[in-house]
Amino acid sequence: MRTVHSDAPVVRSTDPAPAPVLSVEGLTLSVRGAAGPVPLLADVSLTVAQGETVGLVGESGSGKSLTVRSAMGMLPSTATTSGRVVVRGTDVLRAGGQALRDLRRSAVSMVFQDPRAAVNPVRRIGDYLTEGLRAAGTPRGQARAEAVALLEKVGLRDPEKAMRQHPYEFSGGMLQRVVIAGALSVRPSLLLADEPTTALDVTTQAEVVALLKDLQAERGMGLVFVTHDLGLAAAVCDRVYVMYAGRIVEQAPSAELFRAPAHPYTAALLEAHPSLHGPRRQLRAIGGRPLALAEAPSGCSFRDRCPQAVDACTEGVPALRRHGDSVAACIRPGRENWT
Amino acid sequence: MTLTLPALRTRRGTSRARRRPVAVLLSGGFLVVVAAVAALAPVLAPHSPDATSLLDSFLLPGAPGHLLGTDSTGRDTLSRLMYGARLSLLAPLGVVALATIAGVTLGLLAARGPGWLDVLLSRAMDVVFAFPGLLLAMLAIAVFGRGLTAPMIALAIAYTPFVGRVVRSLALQESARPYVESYQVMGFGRLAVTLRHVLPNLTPVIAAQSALAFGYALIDLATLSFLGLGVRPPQSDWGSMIAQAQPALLQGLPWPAVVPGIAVLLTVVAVNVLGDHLGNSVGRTGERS
Amino acid sequence: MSPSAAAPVLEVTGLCKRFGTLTAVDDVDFTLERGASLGIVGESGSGKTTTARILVGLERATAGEVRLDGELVGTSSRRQRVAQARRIQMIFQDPYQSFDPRLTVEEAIAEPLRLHFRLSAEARRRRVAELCDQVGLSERNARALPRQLSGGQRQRAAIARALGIEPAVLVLDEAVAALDVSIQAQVLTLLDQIRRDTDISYVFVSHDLGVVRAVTDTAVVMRLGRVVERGPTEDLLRSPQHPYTRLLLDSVPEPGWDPAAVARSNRALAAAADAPGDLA
Repeated sequence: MRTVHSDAPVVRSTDPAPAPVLSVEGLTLSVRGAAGPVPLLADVSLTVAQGETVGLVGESGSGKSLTVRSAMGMLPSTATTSGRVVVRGTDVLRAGGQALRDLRRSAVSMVFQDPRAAVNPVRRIGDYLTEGLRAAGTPRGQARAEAVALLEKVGLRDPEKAMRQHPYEFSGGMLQRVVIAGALSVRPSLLLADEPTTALDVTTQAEVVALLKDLQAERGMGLVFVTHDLGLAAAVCDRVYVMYAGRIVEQAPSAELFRAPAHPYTAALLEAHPSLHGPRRQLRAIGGRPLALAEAPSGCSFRDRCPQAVDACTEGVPALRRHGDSVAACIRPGRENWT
Repeated sequence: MTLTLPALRTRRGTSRARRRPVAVLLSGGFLVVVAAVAALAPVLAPHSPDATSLLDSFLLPGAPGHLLGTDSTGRDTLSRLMYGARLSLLAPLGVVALATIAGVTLGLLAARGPGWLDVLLSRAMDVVFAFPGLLLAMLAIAVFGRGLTAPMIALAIAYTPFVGRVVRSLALQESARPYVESYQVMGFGRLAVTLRHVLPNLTPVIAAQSALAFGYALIDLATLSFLGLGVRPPQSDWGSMIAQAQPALLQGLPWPAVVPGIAVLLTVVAVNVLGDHLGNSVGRTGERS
Repeated sequence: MSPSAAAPVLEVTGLCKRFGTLTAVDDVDFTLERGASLGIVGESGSGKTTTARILVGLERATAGEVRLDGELVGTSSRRQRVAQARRIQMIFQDPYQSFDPRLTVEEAIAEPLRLHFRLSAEARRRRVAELCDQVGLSERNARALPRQLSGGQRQRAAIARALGIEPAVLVLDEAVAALDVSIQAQVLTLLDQIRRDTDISYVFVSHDLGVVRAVTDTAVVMRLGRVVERGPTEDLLRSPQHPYTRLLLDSVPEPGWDPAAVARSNRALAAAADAPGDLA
């Protein structure tokens, strides 16, 4: 068993990956509270290669949204950070306003959970799509043509008409396509999708996911897919990071994560999820509730809820340990070591 | 999943609450003092408000025995201010009490009653709202003669939509929240839910709105008195003090008018600060997730 | 009419609800046996939520009947509505929004007890404590305001409040959809246990097939206001007959999932549905 230090880049996978489009190295973040700083993220490290889909999975308070937002430089106003968040060679945490704006106009964009909240409801779709392009200096006519092309690309039947329509005239799924078109308008090399299908119907979810995967394959973007749904992450992503209480607790190839979860939390999440396959069984609930980093116990954050916890789990935050193709922050990773 | 930071939110709330009291405490303290002075005027006033002395006319503030000076007939401005505070505060309080009771009732009826009633009440309130309160009060005086009762009732009517429209729109918002439906499912009647749940959740906003109305009513009533339409001598309030000091003002002797003017100004500002505070605190007590 | 053990506790026949020109619920029938659990599966626009709202009296059906213990519901006299509330209760999706923010959990649970039962203050206090205990809320939770609780605790509180009325039927409208996975499992387990301990029946409205499988015996699948398939939940999921049920099953992501294929069959189905002039 090899121990990987948690402050090193978490994984250098076996195949020689091209230079990452996103690399988060030891990101620690806290915000100001009345009684001193409130820690939200501790030592989060992850990489996303070009053309790769990386999942970030966790429950409330795990810090998954905050982590992807950091890649956009969207941090809480009172945040203090350490570590590095590097997007295409720029350290976002140290970049000035202009550098950040340049990055968002040319390298990285984001798709949010609720398309209705992401689009100004009183403006036309055409305005929404051309605004960014115009700000980046594209002439009016060309911006319009590009916007139409983008709408066609994301599968809207009548893009010319859509340009003149308002957000309320679209269903949630269609509006999410518009938002994706907007995200693509900057030709990003990194696309961050924060629960992009959570607000949608299940059948619509499939359409939006299919679209995202298509676009990614075509453009070779790095895609970060944030979700609370392990099944969705496994279905969509090449690799998945599981977060709990502001830390990454497991990182694994998707198939591996499902087949042989290395961290007890991942295993517990899988068992808590009502399955459609196999014999109908009693759900195994995890006791307690998901914690934020500030509320987590010393040592392993999950130990209070972990069926495998032993005394040693209180002694310091467990380092990331390799287990097969996975890496887990557990002193005894892998089911075969559990009772 | 969205980032939720309940701990932070409450902390930010408390720190803001800690910062605000400077202005709020000053305003509250000021109003308490004004009210106490008004109540205890007979005890506290150094002179009778009506004692004239032509020898002492137009003394400047700071003159011995007359802290805030005297007016054209030598009446002590401080004493008159103290006595005047009684009507200046009580009359708008009466206006606001009436307007709040009527506004809350009509607002709730409009929001929670049948649709046709809403249309009726909303239109009626719009019409009244469009009518300047002062004009309504003057009309009332023209019809019923001088005195405080008629203009107070007129102003109360004029301010009813000021409270009622806000209550209606907030009650509609509140009714759309699932908890109101959940009470319906549990078998509670509409009236019970309105009075036991909807109304209490609106009280901070109602209080804020009433405080604002108080400020306006105070100014309106002072204006009426200034125009000689409000209180009748020998009663006086701050507005009538300013009115009586008007000739002197034109002769370059501003103090008898300025002092009650400042009293009006400070009181209205203080009430507004408090009203604002109440309105803002809704964000915490009602905390919509 | 006295409820007999054999008669269904809930019987819905020919239920229709139109909003203007839109038909939200179109000729829906189902029955629910005492102590059983029925799933209503569907997506937004399927009419599942409208159906649930009609059951508890939040909407009035345009046509059709709802019978509780054989008795017709839906008339609007005050006494009838109180009687209906005693028989059928509802759990909403967002537990936070279903509480008056000013009341503590125990106050909120005590309120319907005061309306429906004549209890002394002491007996009511004991009953509230008992209900909190039943759903796993501590005394400290009970004294807290809704905003001081987590999502799972709030949903437990909502369940306790509904159980206090001792309804025969509990309608759960996406009751676990807003909860974290680990908490969702806790609440589902709790619901299962309550059903085993009492003879309460559930109407479980959800878009999540996994959740429906975990807590229901039979299910109906709704699409565009109509029931497209019905049967024992397990059969429905193992060998779906209607293409829409199959589509729903295929839409559940798992390793090896093909979203593009799902998207294709979704479009095919939508085209087929549009053709005969269905109201979308």
